[in-house]
Amino acid sequence: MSTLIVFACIALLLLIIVQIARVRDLAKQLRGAEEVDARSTKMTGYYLVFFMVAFLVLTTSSMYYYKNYMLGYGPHESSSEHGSLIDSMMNLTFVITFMVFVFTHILLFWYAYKFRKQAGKKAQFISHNNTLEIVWTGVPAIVMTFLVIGGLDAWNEIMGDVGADDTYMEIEAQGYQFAWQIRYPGDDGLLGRTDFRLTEGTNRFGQDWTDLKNADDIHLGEIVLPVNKKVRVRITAKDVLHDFYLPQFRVKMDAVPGLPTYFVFTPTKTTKEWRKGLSEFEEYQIPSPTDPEKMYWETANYELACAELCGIGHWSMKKKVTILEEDEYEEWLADQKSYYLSNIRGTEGDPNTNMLLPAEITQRRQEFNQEADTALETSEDDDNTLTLEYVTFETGSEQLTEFSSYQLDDAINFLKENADVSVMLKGHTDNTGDATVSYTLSDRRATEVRMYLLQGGIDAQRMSSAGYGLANPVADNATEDGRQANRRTELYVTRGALPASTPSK
Amino acid sequence: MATAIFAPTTREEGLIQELGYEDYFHDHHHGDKYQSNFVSHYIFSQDHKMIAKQFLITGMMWAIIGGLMSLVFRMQLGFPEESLAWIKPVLGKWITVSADGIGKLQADFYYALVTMHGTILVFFVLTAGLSGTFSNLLIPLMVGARDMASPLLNMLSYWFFFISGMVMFASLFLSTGPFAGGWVAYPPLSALPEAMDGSKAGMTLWTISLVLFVVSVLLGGINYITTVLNLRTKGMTMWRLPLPIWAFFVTAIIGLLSFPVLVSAFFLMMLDRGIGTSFYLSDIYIGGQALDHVGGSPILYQHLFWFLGHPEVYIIILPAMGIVSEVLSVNARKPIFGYKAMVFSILAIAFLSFIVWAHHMFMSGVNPFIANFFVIFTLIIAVPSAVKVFNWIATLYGGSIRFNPASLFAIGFVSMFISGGLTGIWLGNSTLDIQLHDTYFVVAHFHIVMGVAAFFGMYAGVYHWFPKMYGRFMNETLGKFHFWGTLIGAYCVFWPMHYIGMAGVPRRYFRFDTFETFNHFAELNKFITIAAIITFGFQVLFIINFFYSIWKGRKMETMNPYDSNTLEWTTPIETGHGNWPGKLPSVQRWAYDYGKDGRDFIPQVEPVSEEESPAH
Repeated sequence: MSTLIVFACIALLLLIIVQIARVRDLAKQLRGAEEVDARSTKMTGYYLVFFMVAFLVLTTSSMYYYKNYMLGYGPHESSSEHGSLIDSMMNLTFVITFMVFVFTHILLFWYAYKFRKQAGKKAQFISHNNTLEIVWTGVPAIVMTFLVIGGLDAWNEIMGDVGADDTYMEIEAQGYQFAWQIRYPGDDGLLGRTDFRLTEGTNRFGQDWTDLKNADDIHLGEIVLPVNKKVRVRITAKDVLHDFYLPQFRVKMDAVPGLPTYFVFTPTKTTKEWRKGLSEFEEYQIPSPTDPEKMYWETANYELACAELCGIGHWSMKKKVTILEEDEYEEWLADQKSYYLSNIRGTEGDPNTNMLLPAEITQRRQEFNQEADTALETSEDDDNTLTLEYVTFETGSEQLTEFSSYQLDDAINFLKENADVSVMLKGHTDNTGDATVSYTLSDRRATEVRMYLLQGGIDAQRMSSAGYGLANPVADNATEDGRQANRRTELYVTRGALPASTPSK
Repeated sequence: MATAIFAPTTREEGLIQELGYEDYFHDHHHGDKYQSNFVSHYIFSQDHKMIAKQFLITGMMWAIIGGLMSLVFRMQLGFPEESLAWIKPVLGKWITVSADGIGKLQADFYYALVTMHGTILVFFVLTAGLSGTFSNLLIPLMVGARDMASPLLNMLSYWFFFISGMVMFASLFLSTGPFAGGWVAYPPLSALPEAMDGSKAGMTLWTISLVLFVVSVLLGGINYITTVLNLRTKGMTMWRLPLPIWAFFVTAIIGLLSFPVLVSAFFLMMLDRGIGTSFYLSDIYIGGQALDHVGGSPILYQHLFWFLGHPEVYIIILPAMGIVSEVLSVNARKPIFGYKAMVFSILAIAFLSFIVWAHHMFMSGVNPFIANFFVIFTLIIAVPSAVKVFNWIATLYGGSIRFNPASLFAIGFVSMFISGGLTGIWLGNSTLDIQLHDTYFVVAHFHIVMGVAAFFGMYAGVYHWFPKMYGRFMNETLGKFHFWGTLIGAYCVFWPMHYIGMAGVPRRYFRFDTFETFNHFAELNKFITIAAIITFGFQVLFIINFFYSIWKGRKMETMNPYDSNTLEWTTPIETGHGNWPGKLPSVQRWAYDYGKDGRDFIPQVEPVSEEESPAH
């Protein structure tokens, strides 16, 4: 009903306007066209001048009103190193164009008013003026030259890629319908190879797991960066065009399927510092939209957006961006897990089961040293034995498997660093074989390990070995997992004397 | 014989009979063939004046459709919580009404509306409606020709435009909706039906429609160029051409050189869509599977598209500039200031328009190095543009300006062109483009400089030449209402977008509240939407005025109501086929002898007398 009333009102309004127009035309014929024209010319002249004044006042005052949203001013200052170049170029362009804007508008409307048709005044015959025309060709040309030089100077500095000896970190941001996924390079600082054909549910970047640079890559749902450190963002797209847009950092670059693009920038303000900056402005001292307990500025975040139409969800591709102090960042990074190691390693999709990754070697070494230290500190009465989890043998023999040497090397290093420690190697089996055979096998295996350590340069006096056969299971022999746990080599560590090396059968 | 019967009624007609050129046109019965019955007169007309009216009215219909579309998506942007259930009868399934009766615009349809609005306004309204109308109407009349070089091609040009429009209109009713990937139709979004519903049949129809449209533009363009080059009447040298003709001529050349490139871009797109080639596609994983396309580049399309796309904005604005130059000069009763500079600046702009296309692509992933060239050429365009602006202002200086809707819209055009042109200096600078690219700042810029400004040029032309088209005047008071409403309204709509853009808000967002950064402008967006509705309302005044005046407007009683120099005002009020009832006029001077030697105006057909001061 209200719609109907609105329509009726509009129709009525139009009707009234049309009638006024008709009446004015009639009046013109009645009162004499000349007189009416003269009056209306005068009025229109006034209107034009009035419009000019109102227009210039309103544009200028609205610029002042919205100053906090424009240019490199106040809360809208850039948070990146190169951003200030853009902002100052923008300010320069603003000043120049605004002056031209005001000047030409005053001339345009003032001349229109001043040279309106008036009785007794004739138009002057001025067809051209070469001097004037040279001036208004030359002056813009000179101004443009300055803007071009200034602009290109800044542009080439901003868009120049990283130099050969720059230190920087590289991350990848990939756009897809309709979100961003972020990949960090991990400890090696290098992003692994990808191929879009490898993309699937468990491999969203299409990473090629045979490229070991991928092994430590981290997948993230947000961007976290250290302040004052150069970042090179590799920008990719999975399906259609997207655009990696960080408004507060003056970063924008299309993401193109099949063509990785890059943007290099250095954040200069941590999220905390930025929020503190916002707190000084009234429009941020309102309740936060996400947490009514807090102020707007307290919960404000840098944001990543998409700035290239990519489909119906284009407007929703938001990711939080956080800038931290260097130490906070390191702390945060330490908590992030490699996607490959936590989701792919050891599953069916893992093409690297025949090898040990550097990260795994390091990790196992750390675990071993920690367990060994713990075992050393444990009192003699308790069990100060640790299991050499990764030392394994070929089935039914004392032949060490290929990967066993890593942990044994760790043990050698450990013993070299702790010269006062003596060890006893204990072999155990599961219950699948005959008890005697098991005993012999476990003894041979313990001896084999002792031999390995001996060759590694550990004094024979510090080591003994013993086989326990199937006598000491630590898990249920009824399951495969349990049996595997029972087949083990243990390392008994002590700073005191070794026990006699003749265990009971 | 027809020529013998014709008796001159005015001094100009007398001069034409005395000095004109006898081409024996009226000895043959061309006229009957062209306008003997309703169909050949009003529908399949080959008369350039009728074709001009067909272009104009078709363009107006499209402008209404495109304008209404913008109001619907402005409602979404300004009042996202408001129920739109009341337009469900029109928009059907694109509005979903929830259980409590709140009608919401679907995101797919929002994008379809934005895309259709852009396509319709750029191609159907501001290319066909503006250049098509006035090139057709004015070229033969102003150069002194009986008609276009090929009336048949001219007729086909309109009908290809009409069919193109019908195809586009049909796409609005597809179940998967019209194309929705933006008027630039960047692949892969436009090339892959999986990417969005609009890229299914909607995209196919969109492409077909635009290919037909290009055919129309090319048929028209060849005609305009040939007519200007070959059918100028005796004495009408190139340097005596009125400025609109220069503008239409150069526009047609630009169109002829750039539109075929667009077709080739579409052709490759069709191959990618239809038979699995990979011109634009590579490394794509979409809808749960990796596609076979490898080796193409989406950026290739962007190069091809903008090779048309940038000249296209000059195809839109140059005719408006030409019209404004003429209207300002006639109504200021002064010669256009710096006629030659005006011509050379048109030529310079046209030339430069072909070597600046990549300024649309600074952030698209092309090598940043190439920006060095494109920034330089782009900012050079500011120079001829500045020359034009200063020349228009200088044309007003010392004049005796008549304020009628046409001259007011011409002044408004200059204001819009300044406001929008200056922001071009921001955007043409690649450094600023890093922040401003694809934000509302761009929306503000191009709407003011080529949308609103071109509309102003078009309105100036319609108000000025309406009597030539229909033998009646449009209502001046309504015209002035229309002018003030549009001037103020358009600034209210587009000026605030600069602020939104500088704050970084991207364009083509369905809603802004997902982002904290972009969610500061709810009030301003409401204001813009209200301003847009009101401004559209003022365009309704124009439409009423237009159709009312066709039948009821004040009658034109003299042949030359504006005391104008150009040839179109030497034709009879009821201009028949062949334009001049007797001989063809012979041109004796340039078009801008206003106020010379104390005489208000000296028509082009009047010989230069001995005592006259030297030519301009």
